[in-house]
Amino acid sequence: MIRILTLLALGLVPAAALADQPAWTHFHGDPASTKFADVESFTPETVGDLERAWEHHTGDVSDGSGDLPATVWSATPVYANETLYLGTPFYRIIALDPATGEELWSYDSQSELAALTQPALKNRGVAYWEGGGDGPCAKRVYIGTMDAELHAVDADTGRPCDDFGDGGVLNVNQWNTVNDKFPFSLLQPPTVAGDTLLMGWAGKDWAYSVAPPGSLLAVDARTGELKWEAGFIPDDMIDQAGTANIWTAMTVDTELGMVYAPISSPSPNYWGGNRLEPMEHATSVTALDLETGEIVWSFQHVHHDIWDYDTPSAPTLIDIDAQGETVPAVVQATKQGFLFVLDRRTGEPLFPVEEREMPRSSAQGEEAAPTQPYVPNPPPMAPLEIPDVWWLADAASFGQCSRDRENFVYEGLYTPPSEEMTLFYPGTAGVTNWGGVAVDPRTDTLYVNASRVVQLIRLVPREEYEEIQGGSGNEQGYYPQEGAPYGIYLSGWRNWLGMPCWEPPFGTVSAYDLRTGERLYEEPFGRAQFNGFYGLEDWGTPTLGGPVVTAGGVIFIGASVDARVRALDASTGEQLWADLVEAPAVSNPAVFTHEGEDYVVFAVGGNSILKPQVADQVVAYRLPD
Amino acid sequence: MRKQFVAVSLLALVGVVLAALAYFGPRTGVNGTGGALLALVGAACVMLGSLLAAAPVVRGGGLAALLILVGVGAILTAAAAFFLMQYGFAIAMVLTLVGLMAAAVLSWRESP
Repeated sequence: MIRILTLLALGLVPAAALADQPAWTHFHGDPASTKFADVESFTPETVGDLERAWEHHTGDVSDGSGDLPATVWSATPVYANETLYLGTPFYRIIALDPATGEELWSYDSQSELAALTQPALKNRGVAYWEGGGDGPCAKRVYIGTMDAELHAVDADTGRPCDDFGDGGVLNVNQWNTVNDKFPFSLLQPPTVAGDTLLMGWAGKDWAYSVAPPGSLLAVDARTGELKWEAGFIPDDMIDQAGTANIWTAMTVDTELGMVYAPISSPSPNYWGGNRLEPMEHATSVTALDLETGEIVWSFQHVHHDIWDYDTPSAPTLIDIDAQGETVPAVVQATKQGFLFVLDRRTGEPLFPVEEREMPRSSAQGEEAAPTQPYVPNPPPMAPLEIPDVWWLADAASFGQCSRDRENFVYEGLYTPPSEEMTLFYPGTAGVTNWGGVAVDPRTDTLYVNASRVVQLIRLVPREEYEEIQGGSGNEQGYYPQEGAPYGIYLSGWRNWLGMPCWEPPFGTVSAYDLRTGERLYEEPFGRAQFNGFYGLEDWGTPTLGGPVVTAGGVIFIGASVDARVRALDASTGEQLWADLVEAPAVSNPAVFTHEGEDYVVFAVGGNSILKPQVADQVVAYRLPD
Repeated sequence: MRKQFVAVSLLALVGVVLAALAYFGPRTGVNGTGGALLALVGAACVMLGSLLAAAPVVRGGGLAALLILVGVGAILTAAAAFFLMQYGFAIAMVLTLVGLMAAAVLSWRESP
């Protein structure tokens, strides 16, 4: 700081130059969700020297053993206004000094700490907006709560912005007027587009057949006034189904004036006999006009979704240079493992998409879609066929895994859930999830971490379900799907020792050339961990969270079960550096330059989908002077 | 008293200490886990078994059976330490195993 102030005083560093330093102002770094940091100091040669600059504990953590539900924290730190902002799973905003980690201020939303919709207290961070001008609330930070409030505070002081909503709090549930089964939980921060805040919401997964229909709400960043609202379920089906909501981040192209929304699957999620009519926007990436909310185009990547293959991450925008032409593209990574590369003006695929025949359903009243979209190139991020039985798990279970493979139903990708135990691959958390992909716009190269997890699913007939007293956890156990003829049972496919029954790797990191679709490499990533025991390097790890790529040719990523944060060589996927943190870092890191120094910051919170380990750690790294 | 087995138990004690640090210590990556506890118990059993082998009252077939058990325990504990990524602990258990074998040979040569 002293060095920068001295340089400023001497006039050697124009003040405006500081404003041009690489920032990290959005959940995925920028409005285009590139997760690209224009920072050159982090290179394959230097990152081995990374050291902890500081560490901060928010205090907002629960392992679920006390009165509070467990916490799940996937907040990307936001760097703007020369401050680092974080939301916590106790729905507080914390402002930190990026150079020291010292807390500058905090704001407590006083939100009820109860698992109203999700099984845990969840937060994926805050949004930052500045509208020009000076004075209080010219710059704002927003946080949503599980009970559907959006709070706006001044970015410099943390004081509520009285002109927003009612005294700085917007009741978003006022727009929850159809099939109001649960509050609109605002776990994902709004996406900021100019003076507009774009919000989806999360609900109570797998609980109801008829649920609130998915909506995208656009509100004024200053007042909270509703500008427009868009829905994704046909009007004549609202009494039969629900959701098709947006629970993850969105992406904005201000030049084209469009927002790209990742739309989730409709309810009930694993049986669709009550919603057989086409729902063209469900499980899609959909482009809407930023001014009006009108749907410009929609690309459905799963027809009649009965696997909960939500569109899990914000699509990524990139201008691809190919065959002497620059095409504005949008890339959507999906749970089932495809990369869809579309012209973002029209939604037309830039790589051919085929419709392939898929298995039929045996469930009562169900009619699975006869075909599903299939992308041969770029190759899928994980094999589309279930991995072979792992000899080690099979031997350790005296053939249990082989017997399961033989006895359980499996007919390939998109095997419909049935009353028999069915192998479910990719599992519900998907090949990719909210971390999405990172792209280097200079080379049109895409980087992605991918999971290979097999689950078991069974449709439990209603009468049988009512007799079962089973509980549910975080995406494991029994779920009711009230109103459908079936509840569901979902679990991991493991042997009696808890070992995965399918062969490793369990997770990889890959790079793709978006000009040709060619996969440049695919390497096992990280290490799995179970009861303390680590897997071998070649086995990799399932992941939650995503990568960041830097101009210096380095990928930063947490995401692994083994609670490490890592730097990889972007050209090979080889690990260059790792550090042990207090839980799996299931958020995307933030990479930025502050006062002339480059930082990478991870929020380390954990997620019980990976393992029951939670934390409240924020840790920043930089290179030594 | 067979002093060579006392020396082996001291090597195993190093393993116990390293296992305890892994289990109880902060931020080892395995602190508080079932796997680390299992390895700690394994190292402790190896240490106690080595001490028992030092006692003159244990002889003949009983001693041979004990040494086999302790050796298997050392191998499994070293493997557990390896998969816990506690490499110092794993080396300590491998040295314990080597020491145990050497002590067994010495003991056999010294026996009447």
